[in-house]
Amino acid sequence: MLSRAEKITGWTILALGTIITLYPLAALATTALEPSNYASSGISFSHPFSFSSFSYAWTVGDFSTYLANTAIVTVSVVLISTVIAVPAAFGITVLKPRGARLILYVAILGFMLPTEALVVPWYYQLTSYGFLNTYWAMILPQAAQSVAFGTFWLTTAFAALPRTLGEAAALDGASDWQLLTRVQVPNIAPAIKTMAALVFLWTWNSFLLPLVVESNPSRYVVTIGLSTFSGAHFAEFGALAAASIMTALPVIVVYLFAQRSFIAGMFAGSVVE
Amino acid sequence: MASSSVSALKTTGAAIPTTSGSAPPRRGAKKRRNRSGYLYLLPGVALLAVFIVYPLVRAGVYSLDTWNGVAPAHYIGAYNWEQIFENPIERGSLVNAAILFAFYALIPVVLGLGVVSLLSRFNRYRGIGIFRVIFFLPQVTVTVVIAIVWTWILAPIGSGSINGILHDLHLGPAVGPAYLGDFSTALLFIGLIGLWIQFGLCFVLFLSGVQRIPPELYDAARIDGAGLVREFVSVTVPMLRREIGAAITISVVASLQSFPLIYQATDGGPGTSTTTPGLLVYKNAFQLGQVGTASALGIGLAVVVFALTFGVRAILERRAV
Repeated sequence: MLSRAEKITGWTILALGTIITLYPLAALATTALEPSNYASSGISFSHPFSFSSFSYAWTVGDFSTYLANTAIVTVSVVLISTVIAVPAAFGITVLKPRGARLILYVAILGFMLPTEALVVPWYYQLTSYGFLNTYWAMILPQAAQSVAFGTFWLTTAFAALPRTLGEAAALDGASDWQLLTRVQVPNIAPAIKTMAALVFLWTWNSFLLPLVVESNPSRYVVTIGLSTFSGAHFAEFGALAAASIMTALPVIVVYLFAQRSFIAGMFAGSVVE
Repeated sequence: MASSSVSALKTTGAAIPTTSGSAPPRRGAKKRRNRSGYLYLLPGVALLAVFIVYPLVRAGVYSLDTWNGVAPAHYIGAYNWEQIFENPIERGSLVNAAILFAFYALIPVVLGLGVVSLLSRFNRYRGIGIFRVIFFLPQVTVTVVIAIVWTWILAPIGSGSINGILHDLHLGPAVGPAYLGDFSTALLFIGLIGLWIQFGLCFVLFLSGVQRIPPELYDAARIDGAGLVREFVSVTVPMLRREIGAAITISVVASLQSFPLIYQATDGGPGTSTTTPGLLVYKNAFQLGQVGTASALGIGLAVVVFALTFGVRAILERRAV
């Protein structure tokens, strides 16, 4: 059993870690609840309780627009990449046409590439396609990287399914499409959910691409909107904290609901099999 | 993709599946499948070709040019590549990246291992799951938000900041040091923010790993008279080899992609003391009109990501044999 010393050490470490982890988040939460005209000098813990900082950021700071833009971009990227990656992974794993393996390698390359390596050519490409300063400029490149990830990730999921599934479906005279949609997709639903959750997180958090390809504030995503807002309103701690909460909360909520698939997905990809 | 967690996934070595989900029964059927297979792959291949392969080739071409983005480009060979090591700002950014690498990857791994092994018997307690959720939160917090709140915490003055709290406790002056504004400390504190982000990831990963270690191994080590250090070296570390590899690869990529944090918190300053290769890609291409330099740096960054990912993987595989 645990000795007294072990218990004390354990709880001390956990308590300390919790304080350090939560202090910045708690600081945001409490500061966001100060009145918007409250002249605090920073993080404020004692102040009248109010939601006016939120309404200030929502209307004056235009976070209603930024959040809507982020929602448009993020939902588009998640939908496009899922709809494209599922059949692609199925094709590679089950139908195996000539060259399928090469495509898998390109997919692996594609999702490992840092945005920094691609953002410069993307900018000139999107300019020449006439996509600069449109939602497409933020959606398409991220959809491509998400398809790359999804194709790789779902390929391992399809490969893990038992062969008998496909054989049984073939005996029943099912077409490839029926095999995919009726038999295999329901069986890899957890992997698809994990992919969607991770693509959601990355796209919501994305910064460099939207910074470069979108210069019209009415189409800013929330990360860029927050960065710009923080430059112009750096002394309005309440409004800035409220804006930060609105920026971060959707991802945190998704994380809390899909916690297991988040963590499992992140690690499964990195632990060498 | 920009977040540190992207990186999380980017760590994967290629786990190429070799078994198929269905066996094509007849030759004719196989041919049909083969051809229809392309239809399933077509949209994905098109997107990858246009937005991954083509731009990568373009970046390679740009990296051999001098181009301001507007006027005609001129071929200058390997000049941009040589500049990565010869230009003091670019070389400095490599040094900064290496220092950040320590804070993002090495320190969290070592600290995570230490903490988890101290908790190695403790963690069989019920209720430890809640700490897993809490410690992982920085990984799913939007990076710009992290940068903003840490800028407040590290400000020279202000309620709730480190300096403000020290002053309230009569332990510091009214205006304390500007941790992120001082040449000698800015990078250190960017690194500490990175540590704050990455620690939870290591903790969660190692905690689940350590829970799979049979308790008998620890009991045996204790019967043999092993102290905490001995137990750590001969039981915890070897049993967590895979998790350590995963944590290092994930964190390496995260450290190379600290762009939003640096852009928001210091913009590379003061001077160039927190300038990283990622920030230079942005500044060179979109502020200074040096597209070639930026492209060489961007591809260089990708090469480092690949080398480290597959390097760690190779080391782990050799050890595992």
